[in-house]
Amino acid sequence: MFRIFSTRSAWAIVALFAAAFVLSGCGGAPSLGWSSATVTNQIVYFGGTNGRVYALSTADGALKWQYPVKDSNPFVSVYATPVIAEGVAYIAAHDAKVFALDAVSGVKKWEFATAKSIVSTPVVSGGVVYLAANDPKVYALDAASGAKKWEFALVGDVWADLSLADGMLYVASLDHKVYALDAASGAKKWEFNAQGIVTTKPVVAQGIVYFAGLSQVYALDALTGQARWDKPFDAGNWVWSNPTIVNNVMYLATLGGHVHALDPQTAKPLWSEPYKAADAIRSAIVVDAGIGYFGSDDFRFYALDLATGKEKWRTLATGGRIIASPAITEGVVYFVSHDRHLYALNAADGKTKWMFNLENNTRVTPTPGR
Amino acid sequence: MEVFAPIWNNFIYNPMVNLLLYIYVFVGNYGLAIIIFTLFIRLITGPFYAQQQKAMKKQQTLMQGKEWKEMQKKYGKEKERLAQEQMKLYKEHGVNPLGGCLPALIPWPVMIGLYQAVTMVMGAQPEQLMDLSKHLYAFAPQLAAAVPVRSEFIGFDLAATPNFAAPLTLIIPALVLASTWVQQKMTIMPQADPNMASTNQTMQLMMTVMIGMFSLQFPIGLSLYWIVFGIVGIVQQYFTTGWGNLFGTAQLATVAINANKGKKNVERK
Repeated sequence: MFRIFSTRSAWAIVALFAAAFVLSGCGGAPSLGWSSATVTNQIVYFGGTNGRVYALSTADGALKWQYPVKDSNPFVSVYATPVIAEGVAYIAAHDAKVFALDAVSGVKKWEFATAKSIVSTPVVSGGVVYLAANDPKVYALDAASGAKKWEFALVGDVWADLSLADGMLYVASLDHKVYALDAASGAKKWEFNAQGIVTTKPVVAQGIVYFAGLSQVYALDALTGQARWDKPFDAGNWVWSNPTIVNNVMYLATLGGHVHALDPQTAKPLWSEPYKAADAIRSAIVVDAGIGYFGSDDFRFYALDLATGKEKWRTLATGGRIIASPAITEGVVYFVSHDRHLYALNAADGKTKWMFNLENNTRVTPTPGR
Repeated sequence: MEVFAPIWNNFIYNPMVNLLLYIYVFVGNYGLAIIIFTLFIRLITGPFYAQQQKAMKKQQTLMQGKEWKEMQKKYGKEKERLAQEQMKLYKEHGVNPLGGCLPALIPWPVMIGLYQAVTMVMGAQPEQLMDLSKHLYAFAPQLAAAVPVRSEFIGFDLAATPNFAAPLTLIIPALVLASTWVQQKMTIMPQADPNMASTNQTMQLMMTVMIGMFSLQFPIGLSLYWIVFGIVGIVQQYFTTGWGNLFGTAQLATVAINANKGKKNVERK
């Protein structure tokens, strides 16, 4: 009897631990963030997947500073890309706080707390920091002191990056709407109802604001909010990638893994067929010298010849998904992977120059051939 | 895992995510959608649970019967012989000792799928909402248009986690603990072997504490699912086996322990 019962007990205990293991892994995708890299004055700034914001030397990947500083608790996560203006780094954490830090030393100047988390990247212009939180409100803060100048209440969360052009602030929301606010006062100028959540930055070019709601891409008059195309462009799958407009061509990617090139005046596709990556693309297509760079959910980083829409190169798989947008300067591409590394690649051939390990804050020399 | 993922997604996960969203579109409240969805899944998996509970009940009746007590008296000191006789007894009465476990394992994938679907549709983390697009059926665009789901339900934010700064939210883990404990207590089978009874009680406590800990860390929407899941289980258990062991301890174990003590005392004298 003892033998039978002990076997059953063992099975039950194994089942219990298996259940615990499965359930603990079923809480959904971890909140690692999708902060992109940005480069200013030979320093690459980015929010790491470990909840810290980093500043590294582009020359050798040496750590300049991190925030929160070593030995203090990291943020829950960082989705917003650091914004550098007038020697100040503005960082917004998912922990419902925005910080102004000295861009060179990382020393805090001020902080501002919101009532709920922040995902959207702020915009800084004319001594004002504009940010959106999931309270859900849009705030205008004095860039020097962090004092609030105005706020605008919304209905839904804002995960899309903000956009500022010609004195108007464009805000895309999960409440299916895009708002145009007067940047000076916060007064609403117009709003547009899309067919679903809007998670892309409303990008403004030549008086037209472009964004996507679910799989539909819209072009609106920036002043009035009136539609500029006969009908929205159907990208075939959800678009979470910020549109990029270069040389009068709009590039955008979908969570179905397609990259489209469109005429921004007519929405007419410019390639015979969209490029198809192996998995979803949330990263924006960052363009330099006719090449489009982006990361994908298949853990790889891609370079496309934008004249033809054909692939130039792709990296071997990193250890995690790449959902943050890259930054490129002086022939080097920087991006963050969910494998907890920042990568610096040669833009010409995709070979890794160096990596920065967020687990131990050290520069890593790549394996030859990668 | 590469091979397993498409099978899991196509046959379990995606249908559940879309069904849950469809219910949400229909009723317009995510809390209500979770309740209806959990009830529906419990209905589908009900026959497996009923089979498990009947098997357990049969086994339990046998263990409380005269034949088994006589065997205990006769072979109490010969553990191996007693085990053999027990198996014979099971065979004679058509009881499969694993009959209570195997049917219970069949609905597990469905339960895990349900759990994942509730989390995914809630989209508490931005990455979850982004990944949702991979699981929605293209032929039902109204489901995508319903995203994000409104997470308010009877004063609770289903996407938030319980915290001590908002004491009312702690009611949720308390309800999870209570429903899990009651269900565990009702299900537990009285055991003749004191070691086994003790193991069962420890496991019951561990399971309850573990689920309670999870409910403190997970969004309230998941806890709502767990509470409904537990309450339906309690009702189902009641109609199959009654209150079971809810108001008692592992009685057989107590009898066995007392019997053993008595024997030892007699031997000493």
